[in-house]
Amino acid sequence: MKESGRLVDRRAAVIGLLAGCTALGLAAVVRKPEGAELVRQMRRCLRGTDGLADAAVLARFRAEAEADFRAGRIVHRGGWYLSATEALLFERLRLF
Amino acid sequence: MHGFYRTGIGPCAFGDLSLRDPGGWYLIVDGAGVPARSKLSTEICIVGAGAAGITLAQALADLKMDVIVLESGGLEPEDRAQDLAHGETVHYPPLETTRMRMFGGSTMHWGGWCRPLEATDFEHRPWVPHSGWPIDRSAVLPYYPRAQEICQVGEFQYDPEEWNLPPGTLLPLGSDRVHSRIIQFSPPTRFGIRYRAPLTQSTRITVYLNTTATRLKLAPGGRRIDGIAAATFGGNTFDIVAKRYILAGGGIDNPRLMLASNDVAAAGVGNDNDLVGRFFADHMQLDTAVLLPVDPKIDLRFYQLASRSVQRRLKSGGRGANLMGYLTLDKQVQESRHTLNYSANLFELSETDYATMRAAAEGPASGWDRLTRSISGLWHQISTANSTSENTGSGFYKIVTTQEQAPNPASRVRLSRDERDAFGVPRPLLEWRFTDLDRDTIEVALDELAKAFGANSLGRIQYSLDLRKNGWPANVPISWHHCGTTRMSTDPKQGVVDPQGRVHGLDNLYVAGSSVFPTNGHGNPTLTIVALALRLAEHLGGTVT
Repeated sequence: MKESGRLVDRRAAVIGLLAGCTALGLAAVVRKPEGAELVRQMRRCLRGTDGLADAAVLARFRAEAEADFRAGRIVHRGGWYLSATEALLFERLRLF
Repeated sequence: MHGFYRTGIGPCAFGDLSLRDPGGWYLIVDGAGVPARSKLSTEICIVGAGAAGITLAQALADLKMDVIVLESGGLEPEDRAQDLAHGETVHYPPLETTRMRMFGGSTMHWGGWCRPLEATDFEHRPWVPHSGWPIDRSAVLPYYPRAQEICQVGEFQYDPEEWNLPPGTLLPLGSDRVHSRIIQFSPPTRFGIRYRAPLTQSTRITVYLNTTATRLKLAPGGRRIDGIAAATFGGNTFDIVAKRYILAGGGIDNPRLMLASNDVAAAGVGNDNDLVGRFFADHMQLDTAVLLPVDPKIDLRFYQLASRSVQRRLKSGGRGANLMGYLTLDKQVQESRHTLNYSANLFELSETDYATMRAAAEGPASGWDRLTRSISGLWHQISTANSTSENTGSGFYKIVTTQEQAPNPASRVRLSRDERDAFGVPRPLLEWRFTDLDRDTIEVALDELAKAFGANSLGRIQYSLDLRKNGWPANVPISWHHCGTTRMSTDPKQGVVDPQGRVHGLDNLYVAGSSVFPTNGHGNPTLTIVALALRLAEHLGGTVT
């Protein structure tokens, strides 16, 4: 994992950020302009909160994703196995 | 004094070649020195000095039986011997790269992975056509501990919870559907080195090197083998006459020799039901997906290929072992979702490998992705230009699948119509075929892994291999495990050998090795090959008079 962030993968970045894995999220967003824009978009999609700064929102999102996986609510898109909750966010972020 | 051993090999220096006469000096000899057209007599003749052949020879000698072992190679690898392994292939790499024709057989390039077959592997599973061994695991279980010793691994214990692993070693999957299991690593044992001295010191075993079995001499009536024709590169030929014969030449050459011995029975020896050579199976090693860990605290080292350097002991003590973890599906998942047995390991990807797998997974890129991939490529070139290491880790892991292959009669070894080896024996033609069940197992397993990792916020999985859309890759990586071609069954119409390993319809011909496996489980066959060889030796010890 590198803070230099060589990797270009917005989907991986979003997954990492949503899961609270900031290092992964930052590493996966390669260039700061794109990364910053992605974070802004995520905040908008998470609605009415401080977005990524709001640990409670992330924790709730994470719990919903875990519940999705336990219940088998999986969406298979772009090769990824995503929870239904994540997939919805990905749609809003136009990652597919 | 019996059984003098002199270092090295040399021509057979004695006239009376019966092993019952201890006049010989060299007990590992070159077949070139055997008097031409002579007949060597013994109780048991074994074809092949690999894991099965060497284990059998020692076990039979311990049971006070006289044994001749024929090995087509020498003590060192040689091109002329390796060339005997060459054959035609379909969807399979060159055969001579998958086998070692020398004393010790393919243990001489073995990776040392050991894991036993599971109870499920022996059972008939209605959703797996042609599945089911005629014996259950309890028939093999008594032999596994000794097999562990022969393979120089730890105690026969494969439950990771019983090993003294540091906290955090095993993934907290919290799932009853996906489990962690372990592999034990042999040093690996090179049977041709480790067991050379014991074999040469035994007065009951003579190994003929550079000696190739070219034909099984089927007696008129077709119920017995009268002898084995043997040949050497220098043109010498002689016969072995034994009470019992055991083919231990591997999953290609066991059926090949049976099929090529067609002078009495046109279809070959033991092939009345056209089963010899069918059901060939290996363990594919496919890079099937990428794992993106989202919990920075999880430790994946135990599951990574090449993590064998960590030696552990059982909580209860005993011999230590080098261990590696892997992931597998619960039996209930296999039943409910109709899969084969499955295992997965991890391997950290370099950034460039990750980019390649991701591109393969995502297919044609969008405009944005094309742009960013282009930037990525440029960025990578710039960032690695001053780097001393090209292969930097990405933090992503590929999931390497090694799973059972569905028994498939169309996956088979035949005789080449056109090609013959140095002794005029038709070369093998191997057609390796897959089924939808093989593909479906990968898909279901990844779905289950994705659930287990996702439900515990351990990671996400990206499928990198769309078999349904793209079909099987042109070159499916293999494990060099040649299984199934003389499969075991109580019914001669369903298998080539009976539950003891005796060829149906013949009184004195047996087969040892993974060619008798009706199904090959999700892992490595050597430990079970050795266990079954011990079982066969015990059986023969009670039947040869």
